[in-house]
Amino acid sequence: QQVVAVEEPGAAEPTVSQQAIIRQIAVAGAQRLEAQTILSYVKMRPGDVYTEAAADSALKELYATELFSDVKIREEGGNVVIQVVENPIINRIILEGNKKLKEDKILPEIKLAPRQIYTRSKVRADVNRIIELYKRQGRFAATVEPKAVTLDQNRVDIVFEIKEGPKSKVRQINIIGNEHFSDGDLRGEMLTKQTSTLSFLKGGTSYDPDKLAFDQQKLRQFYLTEGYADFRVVSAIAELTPDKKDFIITYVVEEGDRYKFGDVSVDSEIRDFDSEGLTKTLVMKKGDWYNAEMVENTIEGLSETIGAFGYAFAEVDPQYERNKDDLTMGVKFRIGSAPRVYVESIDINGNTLTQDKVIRREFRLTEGDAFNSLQVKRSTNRIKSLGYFQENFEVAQEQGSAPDRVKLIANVEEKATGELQLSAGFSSLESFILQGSIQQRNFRGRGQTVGLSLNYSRYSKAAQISFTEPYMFDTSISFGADIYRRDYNSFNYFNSDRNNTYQNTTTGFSLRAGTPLSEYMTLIARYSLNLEDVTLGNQYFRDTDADGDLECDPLVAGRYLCDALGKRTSSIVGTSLIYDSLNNRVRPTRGERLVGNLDFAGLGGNVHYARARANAAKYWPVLNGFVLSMQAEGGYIKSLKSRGIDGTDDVRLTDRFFLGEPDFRGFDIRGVGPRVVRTRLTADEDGNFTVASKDNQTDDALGGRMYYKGRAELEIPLGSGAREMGLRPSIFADIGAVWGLKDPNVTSIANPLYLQRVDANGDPLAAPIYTNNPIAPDGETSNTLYISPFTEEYLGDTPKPRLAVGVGISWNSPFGPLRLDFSKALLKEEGDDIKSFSFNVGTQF
Amino acid sequence: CAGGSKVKDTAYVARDVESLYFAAKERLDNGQVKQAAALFDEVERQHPYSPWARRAQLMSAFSYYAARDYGQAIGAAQRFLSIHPGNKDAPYASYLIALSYYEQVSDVERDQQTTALARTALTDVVRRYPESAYAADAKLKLDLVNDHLAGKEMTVGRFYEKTGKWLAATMRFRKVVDDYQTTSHTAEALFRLTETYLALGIPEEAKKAAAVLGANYPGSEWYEKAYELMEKKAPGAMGVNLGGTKPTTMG
Amino acid sequence: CTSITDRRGYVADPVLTGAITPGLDNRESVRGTLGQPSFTSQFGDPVYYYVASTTEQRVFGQPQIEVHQVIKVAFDPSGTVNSVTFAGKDDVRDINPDGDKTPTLGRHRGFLQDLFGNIGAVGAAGAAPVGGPNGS
Repeated sequence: QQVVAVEEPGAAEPTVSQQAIIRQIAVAGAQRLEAQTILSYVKMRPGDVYTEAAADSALKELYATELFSDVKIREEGGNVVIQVVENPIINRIILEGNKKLKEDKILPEIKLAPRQIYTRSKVRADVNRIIELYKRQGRFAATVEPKAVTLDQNRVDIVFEIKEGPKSKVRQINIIGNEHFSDGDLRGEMLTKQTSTLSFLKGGTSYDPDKLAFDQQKLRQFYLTEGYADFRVVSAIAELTPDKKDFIITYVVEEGDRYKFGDVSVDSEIRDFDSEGLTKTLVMKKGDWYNAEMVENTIEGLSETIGAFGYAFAEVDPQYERNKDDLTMGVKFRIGSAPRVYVESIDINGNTLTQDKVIRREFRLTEGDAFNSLQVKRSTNRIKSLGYFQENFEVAQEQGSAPDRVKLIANVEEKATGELQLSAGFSSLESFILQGSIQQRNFRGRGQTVGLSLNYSRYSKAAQISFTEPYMFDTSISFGADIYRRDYNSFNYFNSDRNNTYQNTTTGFSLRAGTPLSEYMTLIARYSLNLEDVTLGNQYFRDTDADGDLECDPLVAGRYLCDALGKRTSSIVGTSLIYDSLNNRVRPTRGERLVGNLDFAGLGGNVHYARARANAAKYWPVLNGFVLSMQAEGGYIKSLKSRGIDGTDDVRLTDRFFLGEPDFRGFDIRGVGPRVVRTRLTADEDGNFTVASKDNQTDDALGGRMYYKGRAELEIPLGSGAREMGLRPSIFADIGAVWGLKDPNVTSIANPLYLQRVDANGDPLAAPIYTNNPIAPDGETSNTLYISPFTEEYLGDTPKPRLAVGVGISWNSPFGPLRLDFSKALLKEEGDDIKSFSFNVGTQF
Repeated sequence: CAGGSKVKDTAYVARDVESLYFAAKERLDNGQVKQAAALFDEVERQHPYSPWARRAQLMSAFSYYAARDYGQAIGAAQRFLSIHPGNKDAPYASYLIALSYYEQVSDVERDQQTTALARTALTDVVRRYPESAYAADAKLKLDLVNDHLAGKEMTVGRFYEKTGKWLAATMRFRKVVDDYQTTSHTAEALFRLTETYLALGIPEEAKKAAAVLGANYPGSEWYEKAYELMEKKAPGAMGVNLGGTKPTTMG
Repeated sequence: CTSITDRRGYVADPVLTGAITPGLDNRESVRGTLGQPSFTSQFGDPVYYYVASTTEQRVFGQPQIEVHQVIKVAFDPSGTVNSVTFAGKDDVRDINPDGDKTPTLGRHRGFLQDLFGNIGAVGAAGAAPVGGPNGS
């Protein structure tokens, strides 16, 4: 410590021979630093009186700069010479002997770096930092030996020789003096665990003195929660085992007696809160067992309530009256008087891309308003729901320029909001699906979402451009528009070769506008115009009624497909009511979201239906870290104008509900719901067609007019290591059904149909004739088989629930979010297509 | 034991200081600023005590600045200042720091922390080295930075106005009038105060703001707008002193 | 149908406001009872303004002031209160903010830079400065 010699002004000078007045000061030995820089550090100036004390303080000042390893001051006849030896410069830092802790873990912790000045204190500080790193790993025997290797030009290399030593474990924890609770219960409360066979899984078995202190606190907290107010840890000793490898920890505790609550009350010095009213709201009653945790929660609850009324800095402190005779503990919650606090300013930092207003408009309170802790929490959730910033974002509070002023600070760290999504899936019919979409959720930092999605998969090609602006011209009205072109070709399989059934191309646009009804409720109005065209492959066309032009042949295509053909325009107006109180829309852990949609098609166009859909989702944080979510969905569509074709439902095929992958895991694309299954018969040995085999069946999903779907999913938290990698496994159960269709009349033909190309005397015919006999009338040429006999069944039109359970894992892999799902269909109806595995990978940019 | 060091340090080619320095200088001259900066660092690392080292530190800071690597430029310049605070090139080093921040100023819609850092650095230059060649330019840039910070306050104030948060808007515009009087935004701030005070139902303060605007910026278009607004929204409130002509006396 | 009501600015308490008596109270006593004002007059003689308002926002609408109160506490030069007056909703004027703005400098982000600006390091342009002037 630098002791500054204080000299009384005018005190008698110690009698030195004769006052030597400093005539000039010279610096010797400085190579790197300039003379006047060194002089600037010292208080001595030519003309002062040279005294021992002045020289002494100059020495101290020079050493304090840590620039010099040695300083000498000489004075002869008035001229002073400061002889310095500068500290060497560090050339390189080398770590040796670090096996368990790699270099990239140690180097960031070290303050010394090349080109810095070498000082013994800095080296010692770094040695402690390295030892601290090893302590945290439980290696208490680790030693670090710093060595300085001098080089030319007064430079030095620093070598840290590290001996890591064994990892010291806690072999046993014994507790003495506990009657009311078993050793096992108490050990459960502690952070440090005993080494056991399973310890490699749990970790925490390494000995660490800080953890020992923390465990004592946990013990105290446990007993206080159980009402033992007099609990005391008499002693806690850790001894080395005889073989010096591990430790045995022994706690001696004194439980004392169990207390009950005395009288409990709230005493508020703030006018706005009446004490009696608040006392009634208290959870604990006189006579209950005393519980310290309940007291803690009450304090938190009270501070939150008064925070909601503007008293951000008011304190709630409990005053205990302990009564040893009747073992009661009275608690008075005193709310200290504090001024109501107002928001002085809202500052937003870190937004290098996002515009200031995109964040500012999410604040539920603004400058000049009274502070309100609920609104601040709500603002934090809304900003987090934008999905542009770091996971652990919080609005920070800082004391303002006056005791009753607070500053709200939003320090954001932006993350990539552009998403390039590529997904591939295998379905039980081995069809490979590739989808790609580019979306930028924070377009030009204005909070707008711009999406261009190009889906190419074996069964559908779609291009869509979408744009959403949540706050049109800074008003509270949100606006969205999409333009899309979707080609969907349905397919079925006939003994493992795929043939297209129908193509449905839709081109259209949709506009939507939304406005908030309340903090959590939004109303959306929608209009969309779709031009649809359903066409069939020409192999399904035949001149069935011999009028010269080709029509759709129900025998080949199936009655339901022929009715679906043709062009139509549907002009749909719709509205939705959304209630959303999720705490984070991107990764919700709490809250619920309910949506009701109503759509009418028929404002012009030739499609008339009314469709109602609703979905609801609720999320709970369960135990610590688990997130349980329950989702339910349902829909009903009713045609408003009958199409007057018997055997076909009035609702068009493309407007009906379908259920399957990807939203109903465990089943294939459109794998659930009403379908027509056509089984082709093959000839048995004596030529007639009776054999029906399972593998040459084709099924075409028809969808349904009503559907419901439910899902329960439990997200399982992993250790911190896995969470860092973004691994989130979950187990799920999906349940649902699609049904309600006017039964299509199925057709079956018993004997095969042939194409006869030659007339009775063998000359080729202009147009093939369809006949049932296999040989042409000329007796030799055989006709080609056109359709083999088949039977059709209509299956799956039942509300009976299909159920699939499975496990899935989503992982924020380095190249983007990856989702793997393994599922097993438990309940399924005849005809449903199941699928056991799908994965989907996307990259973020 | 330094001999057997495992760390293979390619740049550890011990070359005498002049050739290293001139190699760096040459790189700098023909535009390879990144390599130049690295080589200047080498000079300082291998020959910390040579007179070249001091020069090299400064040159590496400049090269990083030229290579737009502002973080490194600031770091190098600060290292120079911490070791040679009294050096004759110290003004240039702190000016380099100020410039590095100044270059990173982003537009008013975004984070202004860098602008605030630029302001402190520029004020340092003007305060510590008033007679240096850089003080004049630093003063000029200081005004621009202040103008920019005022611009940010105005943007937030206008946002509050547009979304009907009149009290919040008033507080922001008052901040511009109080803290940024010498910037180009003061006139508009006074006009905006006329708007917000009227919207808050305090016409007398609106009148004062308009009067001060008229007194200090008589010819500005903001004053005309304020005058018309007062006539329309609080007829007669402007009353006597601002009648037909626009006198320049205080309201 | 429903509309969103928000409470902006000062939380007025009629009992406290009534307690301010001209001629007796001075700045400290007003500050003690009513707390710090929303703002004080910038020019001319000192006046404390406490602005309290409640806004309503109807469907597809913008927040409009429904209930409004401004408490004005004027002081004479010696610092004692000489008048306590109020302004209400009828003093509020409907203002449509002027569209012009004073130009600002700073690099405006170009269209393309916005679009692909943060593909590499997020916010590469405004890289956080390494160790501000005070950090060594």
